[in-house]
Amino acid sequence: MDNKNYQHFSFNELLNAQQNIGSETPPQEIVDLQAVISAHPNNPVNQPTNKRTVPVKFLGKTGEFFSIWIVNLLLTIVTLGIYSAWATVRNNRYFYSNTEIDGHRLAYLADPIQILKGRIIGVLLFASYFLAASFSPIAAGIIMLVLVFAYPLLICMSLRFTMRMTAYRNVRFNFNGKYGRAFVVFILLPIMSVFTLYLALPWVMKKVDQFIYDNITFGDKKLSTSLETGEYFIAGLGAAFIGIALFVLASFGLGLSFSDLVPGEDGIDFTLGYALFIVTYVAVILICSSFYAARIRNHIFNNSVIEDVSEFTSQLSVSQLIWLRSSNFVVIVASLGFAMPWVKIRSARLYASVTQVTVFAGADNVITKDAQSSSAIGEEVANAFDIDVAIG
Amino acid sequence: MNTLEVMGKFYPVGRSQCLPVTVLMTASDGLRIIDLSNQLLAETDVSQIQVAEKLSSVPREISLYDQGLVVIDSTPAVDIWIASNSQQNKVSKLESSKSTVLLCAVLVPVFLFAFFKYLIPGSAILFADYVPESIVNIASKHTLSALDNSILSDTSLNDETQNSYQNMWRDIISKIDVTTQFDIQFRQSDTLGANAFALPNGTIVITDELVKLIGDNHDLLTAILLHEIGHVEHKHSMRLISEALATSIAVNYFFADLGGLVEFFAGVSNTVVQNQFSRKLEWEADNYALSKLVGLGMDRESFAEAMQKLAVTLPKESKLTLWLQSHPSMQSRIDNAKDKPLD
Repeated sequence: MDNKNYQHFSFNELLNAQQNIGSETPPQEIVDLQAVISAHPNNPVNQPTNKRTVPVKFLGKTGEFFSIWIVNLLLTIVTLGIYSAWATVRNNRYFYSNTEIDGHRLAYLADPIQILKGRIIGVLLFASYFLAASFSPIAAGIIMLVLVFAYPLLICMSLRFTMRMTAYRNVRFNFNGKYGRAFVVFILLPIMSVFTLYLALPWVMKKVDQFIYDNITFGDKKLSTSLETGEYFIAGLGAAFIGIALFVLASFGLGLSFSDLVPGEDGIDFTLGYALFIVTYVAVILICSSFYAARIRNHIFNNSVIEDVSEFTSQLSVSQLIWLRSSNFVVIVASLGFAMPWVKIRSARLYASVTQVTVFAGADNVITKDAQSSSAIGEEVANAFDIDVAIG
Repeated sequence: MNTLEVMGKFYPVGRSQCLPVTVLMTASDGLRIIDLSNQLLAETDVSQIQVAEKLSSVPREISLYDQGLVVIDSTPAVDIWIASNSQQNKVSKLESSKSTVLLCAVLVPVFLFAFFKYLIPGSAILFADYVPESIVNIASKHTLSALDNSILSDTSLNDETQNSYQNMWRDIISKIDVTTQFDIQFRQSDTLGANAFALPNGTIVITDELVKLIGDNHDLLTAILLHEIGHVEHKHSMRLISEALATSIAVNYFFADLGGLVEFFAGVSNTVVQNQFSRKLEWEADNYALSKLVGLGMDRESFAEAMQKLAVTLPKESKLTLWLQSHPSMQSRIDNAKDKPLD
């Protein structure tokens, strides 16, 4: 008697067949059926992680954001900067709330008053520093020394604020980096890399990124990375090599075109040469920084995981980033800044389009953790002194 | 009573879970959240909700105190219900009006121009008057000692030469109306070359190189000295400091959200703006010197001649670099000294 061949049955048909097993069913057929069922890919047993990969959608529109941006800019100017705290919140909210992952949008939760307080303290500190530095070089030196020690603290406070103000599915992110480690990665290691003639700098950059990302939490879940030193060396040395090669090529090319111009006494060629130099300089920096930024962004995203919640994928190509940044730069200059909203929207759209998130079943079960409230002071002081840490 | 019924997402407080729900919004009872099997999940009075400000077409986020967050689409009916049941500001109304947006686009450049052109220099003059003399003194002393330790060295002029200049200048300063006690000092400097500068407390430093260049003509040196006195009398250092401070704070906050490459752009514009301030002050000092020269019975031509001699020591100027310089071009300063009639 021939056993039935179950290989081409769908999973539901297999389950039906199992229901219909009777006393007349040959034992071998029952064994076969069980084997096929347990091996079938649609069997829940074979999907222990039950994960799905979803795109990051950015839904913002240039026209909408232009209206928000220009109205808030005017309000900021007429209030001599006071309204800037509200403007910051509205601008940030527009980008967070228009970013959708797996059907849920990000949320930016900062309170403008909180930002305003931090901003006032930041401006006062910066003004005192500026005045002290203008009036006395000695005071300036002392303050610089204080700033060196305050710098890691400001970075930690700033990252904590940014993370605490970010929520997804009504659960906040947090940043738990501590001063001691921050001092090592942001001050000690960079200073030590000088003695290696900056050859160790890519390794330091890896330590910095590790410090930032490994200290991020989402509710009670930790983000963890497995970053490779090798990738940082490829990105860092590659960027340096591209930069040097382009400069050599450019100065050769410029030198030729330079000699075409009349080496007159009227200074015109000097002006042109100067302008060409600036354009070349900007272009070279743009190309090699894009090479580094795109590679490292992909590396960080592709090697980060929030336990039980998600994995990330980033496929930003170097040429995409170079095109984005160079066209942004040209358009901003040509439009005297008016194209800023367009630039920000298209940048967000590109970054979203190259990013994917793999969501695990555990994403539904993240528990919020009551963290100590965080103030905007560190963030704002850091801003006033132009200390900036970007999170991809 | 009219009840608004919409679909939404409910995030119970404390976890990342999300439930599809029906939201019933009434004016009297507040908010009821019901799941798909008709179970009541949450119920609250309108006084217990907090709604994020309306922002274009972004879904509305309604926080139910202690119970969770409900997110619903931003429809006109929903927006009206929220506006009448919670505190909302009016900014989104401005943002959604085409004519307001257009008006803002026109006013932003106008206001920015007025801000940098009039408001900052105006308040800098006010600020300069309020800086205590003791601070001005300390600042000047620290600056001079820092310069002495770096680019300045002791003068090589002999006492006799120094004294003859000092006596002549004492005489000149006594004839013009000044409010500051001036202290003129000589220094040697390879870095600065033929140059003179004033510190805000009235200390004026003249380099040996300048004395060698034009020292044989006392009127020329006097013209330069008067220019430096003009800086001190008009408190230019203090004005420049406050202008620089106000500009960098303004650039940081008005363009705070620019980021990245634009920061380079803002840095350049910051320099350009500050050089505009600085050049304005140079003109003020030039014109001060010219009017005092005439008052002393000397010729405006002396100033022009001094500039001409200095110009020879400087590199060639071009149109682009002019934007990046803190001083007006030598040629325009010479023209100003020669042509402009005294007002």
